[in-house]
Parts: sequence; C-alpha cells; structure tokens
Amino acid sequence: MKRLFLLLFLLYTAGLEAKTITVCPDCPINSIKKALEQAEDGDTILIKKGLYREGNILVKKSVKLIGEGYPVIDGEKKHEVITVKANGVLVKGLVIQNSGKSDIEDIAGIKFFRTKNCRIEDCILKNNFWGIYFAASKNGIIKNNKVIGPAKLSYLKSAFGTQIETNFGNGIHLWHCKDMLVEGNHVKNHRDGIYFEFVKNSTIINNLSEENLRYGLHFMFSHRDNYINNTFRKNGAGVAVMYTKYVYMANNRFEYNWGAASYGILLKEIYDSYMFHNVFYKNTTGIFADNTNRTIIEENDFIENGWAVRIWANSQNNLFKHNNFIANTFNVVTNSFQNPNTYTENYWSDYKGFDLNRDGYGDVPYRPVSLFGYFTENYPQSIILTRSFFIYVLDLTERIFPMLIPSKLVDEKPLMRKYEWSK
Amino acid sequence: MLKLLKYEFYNMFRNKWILFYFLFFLILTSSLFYFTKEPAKVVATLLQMVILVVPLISLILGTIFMYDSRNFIELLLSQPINRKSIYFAKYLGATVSLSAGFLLGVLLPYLFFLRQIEGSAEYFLYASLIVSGVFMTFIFTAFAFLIATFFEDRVKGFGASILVWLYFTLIYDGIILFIIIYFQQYPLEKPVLVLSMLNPVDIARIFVILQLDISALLGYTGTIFKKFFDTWLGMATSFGVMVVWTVLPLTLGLWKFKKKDF
Repeated sequence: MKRLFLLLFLLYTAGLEAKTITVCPDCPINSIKKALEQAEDGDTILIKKGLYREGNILVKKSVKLIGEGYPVIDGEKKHEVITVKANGVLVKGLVIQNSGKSDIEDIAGIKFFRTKNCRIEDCILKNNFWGIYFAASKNGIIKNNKVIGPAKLSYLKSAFGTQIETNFGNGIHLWHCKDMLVEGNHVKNHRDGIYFEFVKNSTIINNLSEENLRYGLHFMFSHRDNYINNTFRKNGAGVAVMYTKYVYMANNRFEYNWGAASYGILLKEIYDSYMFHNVFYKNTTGIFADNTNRTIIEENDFIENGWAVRIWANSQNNLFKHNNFIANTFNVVTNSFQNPNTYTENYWSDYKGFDLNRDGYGDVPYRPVSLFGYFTENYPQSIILTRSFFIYVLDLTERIFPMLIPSKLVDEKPLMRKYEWSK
Repeated sequence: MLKLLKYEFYNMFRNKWILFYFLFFLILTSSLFYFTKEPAKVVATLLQMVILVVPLISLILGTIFMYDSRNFIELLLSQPINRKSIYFAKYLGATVSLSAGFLLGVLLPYLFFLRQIEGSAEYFLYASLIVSGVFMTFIFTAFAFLIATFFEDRVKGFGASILVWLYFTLIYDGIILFIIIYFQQYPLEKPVLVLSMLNPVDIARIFVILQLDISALLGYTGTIFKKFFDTWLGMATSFGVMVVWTVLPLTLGLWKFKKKDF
C-alpha cells in the first residue's frame, strides 16, 4: 500500500514537472517573457532557434531555460540580457549576446543574484560587458560555456586611447559565493578571464582562459579553493592569486604570458597553499611571490621563462621540491641576502656539477641565484647590461667563488636528471 | 687610389684569414639555422659573435695587415702617391673584405633557410644585426690601423689591440654597473642611456636585444630605451655615434700616418 502511494506521489510530481512551454518566433508563445509569466516553479521553457530581443529577461521562478539549436538572445547593447533571482534555475544551450555597458553598474550577459543550486551549461556568450556573473550565490555550476568578449589584447597598446581596461568587464565573475564549480569553460577577450572574490570552497577545473586584457584568473580572499587542469594563455598580466589561504593549484598550464608587466602567476599574501604539477612555459616571470608563506611548490616545470621564480624577502617558509627548471634566463631571483625558504632536490638545467657516488643527486650544491639576477632585483637599471660579456664573466667568477649572492640560498641536493612527474 | 684599392682587394682575397673568417660565420650560422629554424633565436646567438668576435678579429687582423704590409707601404711611399690614398686604400681593402666575409657568412645561410623558416622571417632584426656587425668591423679596423701606426713594436701593438677590445666589451660595462650601484639613489635611466650610447658595442647589443623577445625582461629601463630607439632621433643618434666612432680613430690614424717618419 505504501508503495502504491509512493508511486502515485511520484506520478503526480512527475506530471507537474512534465509541463514544458515551447517558445519560438512563430509559436503562440513567441517571447521568453510570456513563457516566464505562464510558467510555474519546476517547469521547462524550451526555446527554439531564432533571435529574441526582449530587453532584460528577469527570471524569478525555478525554471529550466533550455535552448534548441542555439537560439540567440540579444541585449541590443542596452540591457542586462538575463537576470536570475530564483533558486534551482538551469540555463542551457543559449547564445547570449550584446549586453549593455555601464560605468556604474556591472551589467552582465547573465547575472545570478542571491541564488542556490543554479546551473549554466553549454551556453555561448558573445560581446557582453560582463559575461557570467554570480553574486552572493551558493552551490552554482558553470559548465562548458564559451565566453568571448569584445576586448582584444591589442587595445592594451593604446592604453591611453578610448579602449582602456575599465571599458571591459570580466568573463566569469563570482563574488561572495560558496561551493561553486567552474568547469570546462573557454574564456577569451575579457578584462579578467575568471574572477573570484570572497568565493569559498569552490573548484575551477578544466578551463581555458586566454587573451584577456588583464588576468586569466583573478583570485582574491577566496579561501579553500582548488583550481585544477586549467590553461592560462597569453593574458595581459597572467594570473593573480591574492590574499588567500589554503589554495590548491594543480596541473595548470601558465603559458605565453609575455610582456613587461606580465607573470605566469602572481602570489600575493598567500598562506598554506600547495602548487603541484603545474607547467610554466614562456612567461616573463613564472612565479612572482610577494609575501607568500608556508606554501609548498612541488613537482612543477618551469621552462623557458625570463625569471622562473621571483621571490621577495617577505616570503618565508616555502618549500621548493622536485621542480624542473629548464632554460630560464634567471632561475631564482630575490632581493634579500637571507634565505628564509627551502630549495631541495630540484632539477636545474644549467647545473654543472657531477655525481660521483651515482645516487642521482649532484655532489656540489647548486646556487640558483646568479649575481646578475641579484643585481637586477636591487638595481633595476643594471638589466640593460643583459648579454654583456662583462656580466658573463662576473657570473662565472661568482659561481666559482660565491661572495655576494645569498650564500644560504642553495640547493644542497640538485637532481642530475629531470624529475619525471608527467607520466 | 683605385689602382691601389684594386691591388689591396686582390691581396686580401689571397689571404687565408678572410676565407677562414667567412667559413667560420657560414658554418656557425648554417648550423644554428639547421638546429632552430627560428631567426630570432639565431640572431640571439649571433649577437654574441657580433659584439665579441667581430671586434676582436677586426682588431687582430687589422693590426696584422698593417704590420705585414710595412715593406710595401715603404715602397709605395717612395712613389709620387699621397699618403692619404695609401691609408684609405689599405683601410677600405681591409674593412670591405672583412665585412664581406661576415656579411656573406651570415647572409647566405639565412637566404638558404628562408623557405623553411618557422615563425616570422624577422627582416628588420636580421638587417640590424648585419648593420651592427659591419659597423663593428669598420670601427675596430680603424682602431687597429691607428694602433699599428702609433706603435712600431708589434708586441706593443697587439697588446694595445687587446686592451682596446677589453675596454669596449668588458671594462666599459663594468664602469656602467659601478655607476648604477654607486648612484642608486638617483634616477639613472637617462644617464645610463647616454653612457651606453657612448660605446658602439653597447649600442649594437642594446639595439638588437630591444627587438628580441627578451626585451620584455628589461622592464621599466628597457621601456625607456625602447622609446628612445624607436624614434627617428634615437635611430639617427645611434647611427651617428657609430659613424663618429669610425671617423674618429680613422682620422687620428691618418693624421699620425701622414706625419710618421718611416
């Protein structure tokens, strides 16, 4: 009997959920706004292929907005295209484009405000001021979206013209959220690719963020987050992770962030974090650590960067272990004579020592800071002597008789071969 | 003068040094292109050659040529030819053949590999490398001739050549670094810019480096340098300084040569 009741109940609720409202330009219901008026909580609104110009679409019911054949929802460069202020909303398969622009408000392609359990999936966002915007939300999912903005990197060059950074918004912007998942998105040509501020316990996984004006990932006051398997490529200033505790960063690629003010990753006031299996390839600066403490940097590859690691004296008790430093112009640079960090068992491609007892570790300690590196960090003008024969001679003599460079900054057990973690 | 020049060229091309010089650059550049196929990387390596090897070889070979043709010069001086044309013929003979050795050695592999190049062809970068190299030849051969006319003693002459080379490639940069460290409280970008403009080797080095992608490492100082070198004024100034560095030792040497009692 109980089972029968249960079955009936299930049928009843299923009957409720089954209500689907179809919207298409030639249907009786030809606008999303009309469909939303008729919809109840839990309904599905199926949007067929077409162009919808409806100003601002405000979603205040827990509905599913599902696009078929990628319908285009256009904000005509005046409105915020979709605003969601309800829980459990699913947005899927839409093209959201041409949001308005404002100097006062953050107008987005789609904004979720004070929501729980909302999802946005398989959407394409084109030419919006802000792309996907979550504010004060919980348990949201942002998955497999393509967010392409109007900001081209070449605009940076005309920084004092009309196209400056503040004229553009962020691709995926999360503010004051909790338990969020950002997965498999492609963000391009925004100001910041992915922006996290006060976002706790969240995960950023499998995303590609490239050619953004400022940061590929901008990350502040967001404790206990993970970002894994992402690629950050050719961003104006690379990636910035700031004022945060307990971040787990693994399997990310930071590449081609090349420019006078660009980093692979900027770590500012980071505590108790962990960097694992990341690849830094062709960045001006691989890691720039400013006041980063108790962070473990393990099994990463630094390949062909200008500076692999720039670490300032206010960064303490960090551990660099099993990293590969290959063909960087400078391996480690610091502005201090002291060394409050530990470097051990790393592979340095310009290590010239030998290994007589064949235990895999070089018998001569390696000093990753070159004298010229020390000079450039303390007297910035001296960088103009790059590639001078004088500098070469100076570095060579300093290698043989270390006098000036931080004498404690030394890898006592440099690896003879590259540390293989990639398999 | 033309006849003399013709004879000088004939003499130079019989000289095995020039051939070795040419082959050195040919083999080096071809092997670099063979390995990387990226002109920017090749230029980065060749730059070291241009600022180290070209001045050194120009100085050494220049002094050798001058000392070796001592008897011939004395013979010519007994003829009714003015000293100016003898000196210029010798100078042009040496510089043109040395530059030709360098130019062909660097250019032929580039043209040969131009079809297989990955990335951009970097015409301007390569051209500036070649121009720098040719200037280095002209400047340091002029120094070599100056030294060889000043010192009768060969050993002293070679000593002086090495000293000149050390000064321009090594000691001068040491002085710049010293000034940077000693006056660190002051804004030094412009003084450093002026200082490096006074050394032809530094001009060549900085001019080429600013066009390479490592220029991103140069930061604020690099930006100031780049701003200067990108303008016509900067280009013209660096070109002018190079010319002055050629003309100065050349006229000084000529003056000494004219007055010298052989």
